[in-house]
Amino acid sequence: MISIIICVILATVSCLFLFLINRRRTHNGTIYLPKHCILETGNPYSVIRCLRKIMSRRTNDIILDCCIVESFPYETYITICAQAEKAKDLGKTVSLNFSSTTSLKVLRVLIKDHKTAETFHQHIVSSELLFIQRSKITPDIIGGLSKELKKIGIKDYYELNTLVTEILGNAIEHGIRGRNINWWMYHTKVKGNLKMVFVDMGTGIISSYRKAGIGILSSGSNLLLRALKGAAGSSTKEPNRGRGLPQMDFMIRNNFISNFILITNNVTLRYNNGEYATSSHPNFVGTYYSWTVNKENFFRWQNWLISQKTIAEP
Amino acid sequence: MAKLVNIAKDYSRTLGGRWIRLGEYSGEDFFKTILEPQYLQAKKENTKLVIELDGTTGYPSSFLDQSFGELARKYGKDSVKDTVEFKAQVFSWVADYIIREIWNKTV
Repeated sequence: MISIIICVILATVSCLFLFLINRRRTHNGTIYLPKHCILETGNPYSVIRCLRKIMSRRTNDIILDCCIVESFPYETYITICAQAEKAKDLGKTVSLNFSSTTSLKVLRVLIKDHKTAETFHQHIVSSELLFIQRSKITPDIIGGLSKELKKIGIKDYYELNTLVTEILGNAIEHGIRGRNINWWMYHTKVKGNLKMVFVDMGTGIISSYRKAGIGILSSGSNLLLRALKGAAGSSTKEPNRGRGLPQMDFMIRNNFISNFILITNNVTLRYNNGEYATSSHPNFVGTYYSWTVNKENFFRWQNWLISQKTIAEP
Repeated sequence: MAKLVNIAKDYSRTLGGRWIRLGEYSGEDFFKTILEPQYLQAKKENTKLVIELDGTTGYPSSFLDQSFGELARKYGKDSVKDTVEFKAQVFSWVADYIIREIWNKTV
């Protein structure tokens, strides 16, 4: 009888102890980043859940605990930076905690790439940074991109320049306007490819359309695909608008860019083997684009251009 | 004698987005500062307005719509087509795009 009572007491104490630990975890500002902090491959659910927690936690001091993080690609890093910036606008401060041996290795990789990575709030504008964050479109963005493209043997890729301007214009107009946040851009060279990533933590494409009363009865995937084809029109409802996404679709389908990924609201869209594939997840409040460009993409575009001139001048 | 506007030399090599609020060298700004005044001057002098397209880093479609599209919406596509001509080697497809996708679709 006594042993049963002791067992019950021990079980109760254990439960209480676990409850208090859990309560502490969920009610303080510590958010545990997942082991593989990757947005682009597999299921981005765990990263999106952390992004949402940054905004939803009631405390103003958020600590992103990286103790179990083993992989933390730069594109996820700038997405978290962008979310931290949005949280900062609500009066929150977001810090990183790299305390374990494994996570310190990850930190060293990040710091090697980016020397001001200690906290997410030091948005120091410097030429050393790999990413750009702005609230407007400036000519030096295209100038800098052209320089990077030249390094992989691509010169005068006009179609890509205009695509970037359209994306940034959309990010400002439909995402960050009226908010104290920036769009973020990152590019890196990987084996003859230039990988490009754009992030804004604004409204998101699907939400923008729905707020305008467009596609309310459609699924997010369907609405996004219609928007890319130009069939959803513009969220401004003006007939001469909404040209940016169809231009992007044109470039994707003609392989002028490769490895395309778009994450916005509850949909991730990928283009693989000539087809779009979509997957669903919790709401990613913002828009994330990623693609790669190489010489082959550029030559395809040049050939298309020559074919257009041939048609125009038979 | 025709009036000539070289966008790269007279305005900017790198062009921006649709609206002035989006940043520098937008279509709205180009329309207000260069295209509309030059168009009105050409009309007044009963001459052609020749736009040289080559020399820039590319033409975002929203820039084109808010400049050349706005011109057609404000003054009528027939009048604009009679007055404005394009000169381009590299960007001949941009001239085709303005005529086919913007002006011809202007109501």
